[in-house]
Amino acid sequence: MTALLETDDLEVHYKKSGLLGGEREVVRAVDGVSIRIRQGECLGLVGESGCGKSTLGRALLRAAPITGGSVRFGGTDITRLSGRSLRTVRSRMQMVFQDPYGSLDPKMPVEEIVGEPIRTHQRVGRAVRRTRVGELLETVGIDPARMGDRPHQFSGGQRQRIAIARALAVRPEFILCDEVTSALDVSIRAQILNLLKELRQEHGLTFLMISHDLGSLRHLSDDIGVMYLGRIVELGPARAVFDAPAHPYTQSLLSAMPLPDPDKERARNRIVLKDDVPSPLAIPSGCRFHTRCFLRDRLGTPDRCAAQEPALRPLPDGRTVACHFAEEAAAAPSRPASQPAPETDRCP
Amino acid sequence: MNEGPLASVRNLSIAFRGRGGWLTAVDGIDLAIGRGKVVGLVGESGSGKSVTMLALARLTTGPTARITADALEFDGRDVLAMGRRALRRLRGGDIGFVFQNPHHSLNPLLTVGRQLSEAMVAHMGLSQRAARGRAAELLARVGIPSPARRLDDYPHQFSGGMLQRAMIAMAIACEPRLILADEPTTALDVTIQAQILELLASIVAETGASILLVTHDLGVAARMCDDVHVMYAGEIVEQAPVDTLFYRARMPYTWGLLDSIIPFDAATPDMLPFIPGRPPALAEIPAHCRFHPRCGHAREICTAGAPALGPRAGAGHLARCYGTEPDGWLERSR
Repeated sequence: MTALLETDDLEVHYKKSGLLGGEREVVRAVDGVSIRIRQGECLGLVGESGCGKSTLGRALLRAAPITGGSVRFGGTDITRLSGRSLRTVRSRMQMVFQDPYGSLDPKMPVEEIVGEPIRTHQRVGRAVRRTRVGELLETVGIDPARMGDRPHQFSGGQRQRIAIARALAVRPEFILCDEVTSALDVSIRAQILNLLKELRQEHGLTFLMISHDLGSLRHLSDDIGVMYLGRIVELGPARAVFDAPAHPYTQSLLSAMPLPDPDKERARNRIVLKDDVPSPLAIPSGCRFHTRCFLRDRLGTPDRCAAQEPALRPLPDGRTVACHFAEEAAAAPSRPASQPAPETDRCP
Repeated sequence: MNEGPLASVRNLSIAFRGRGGWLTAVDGIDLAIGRGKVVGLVGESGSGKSVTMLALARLTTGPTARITADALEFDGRDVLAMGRRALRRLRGGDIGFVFQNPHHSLNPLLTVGRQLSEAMVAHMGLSQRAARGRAAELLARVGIPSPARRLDDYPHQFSGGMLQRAMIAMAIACEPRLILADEPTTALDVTIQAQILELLASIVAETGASILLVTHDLGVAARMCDDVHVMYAGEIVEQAPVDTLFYRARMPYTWGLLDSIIPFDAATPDMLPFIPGRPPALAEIPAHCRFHPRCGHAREICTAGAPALGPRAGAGHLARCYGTEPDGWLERSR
């Protein structure tokens, strides 16, 4: 199938002026990312805060300044569109954010919140708009009789449904979901994910899902991209990436996720990464991950990791990985030998 | 040496004054924290878990809150009878605190070193100089590189993970017997969360302190806790040793919580199981079994009376559900 959305070596660099307008530093938020999302599919993006995943999402919608590379949407290069043609493209792409408290205007009744994109992008009368808002609320599981209510009269989960209804209002082809379930309680999270899955199946929508919740991502995504300091380090089918991660960073990320199963937790070979993510102002030389990489330590700190940036290269199973030693990583995805076994004997 | 639990509370209730009168947020809770144990308090937002934790140090006070309890003890001492000074010695001395958001819990205008030494000067009678030296040791203990230099940094110069480490250093500064930790890793990335959880576990192993861990994340509870209490709408609905809770739960809400976790290490069904509805607001807490409106197993009896938190098979296992009482109608094994 053809790609609905495609980037080629996309870059978003911000110039940060130094103190007193002195030296300028460059924040390389997105630093050469090439992804493809096919029509009707969902790409999941995962990575720690500051890795550039939200900036990448915004750049796709032309809501972050692109400083290099290109974005194609539906076969058209939209990197430098402006004015009316940009508005037309934007009406085909929508986004839903993490915080339904922050992204809905507290003073507006739901009818206006959901109807606003229709007013912006389509010329229809008030009555038509109202009917359409009612249908949209029905679709997301909100009683249309409540369209006169304001956001604070709804619960967090309901507000997220309203935000989704608003995103659907102009019948977009593509929806960016940035941490949409992160602020929700666990019992509500599954309800919202089910709604997104239904919408995807019924309307053939294409998604980019950004989340740090790996379970949500696996449930909805066809492919998973793992980001570290502005770059994709692993990209492939969700099952392959989660069941047999090939990049040492993906391995660390998965092994850090707590499992709701005490036996599995005790039996686990956990990789605990040292330190924090380096600043995007001072990206390490060579492989960006080499300063925290347990695999490099185990291989006797080869110079190549610090000297040469690994390109994203295909493995035999179809995924791509940016690691010089991906074969070694895939062969032994376990705890580094130097690390002591985790405390396991704490139960009575 | 006292052999009872380190901290315990009996029949704890907490109410807040709202527009229409007092609203009960926590209703008749018994809780005991064993020595050297990590006890989890899990539940969704609004279940009352955080205020329960604060009440153990009598921190939920003021004109809009009302705490009542039949007994509140710390190491055999009656906390309810304590005066202001004794309470101050308890908080920050015997009890250390770690909160969710270190950015909000530290004073942005004071250096990290100053905030760390403050408590040691107040509680341990150390001189400024000695406190500063120990502050550096503490930062080293929690894994902050070049600690002596970082003492003079302000909180904004630390990353989120580093700041949470500094907060843990503060919590353990006066060698507490109990650490109250409210969602200590919720604001952090998973890789940093793993570091912080490992640090907390090593502190328990090393100092024999107990932790009361408030979390909404059952994965964190599975990794850290010896015993887990599940709260719903202001009540404890189930409590058990960690394995029992995860493998032999006897309360439909706990089942619902366990089922709502979306595994990343296995395939998921097309539509995820979920608990219908949502947790009730304080003013709308249902009578009888508080979970019955959302429970798929409820029968007539569930709307006729309020089930007691009663024993189930297995040591230390209590559940609040008519359906899993000895003559009940519910069976489930995971």
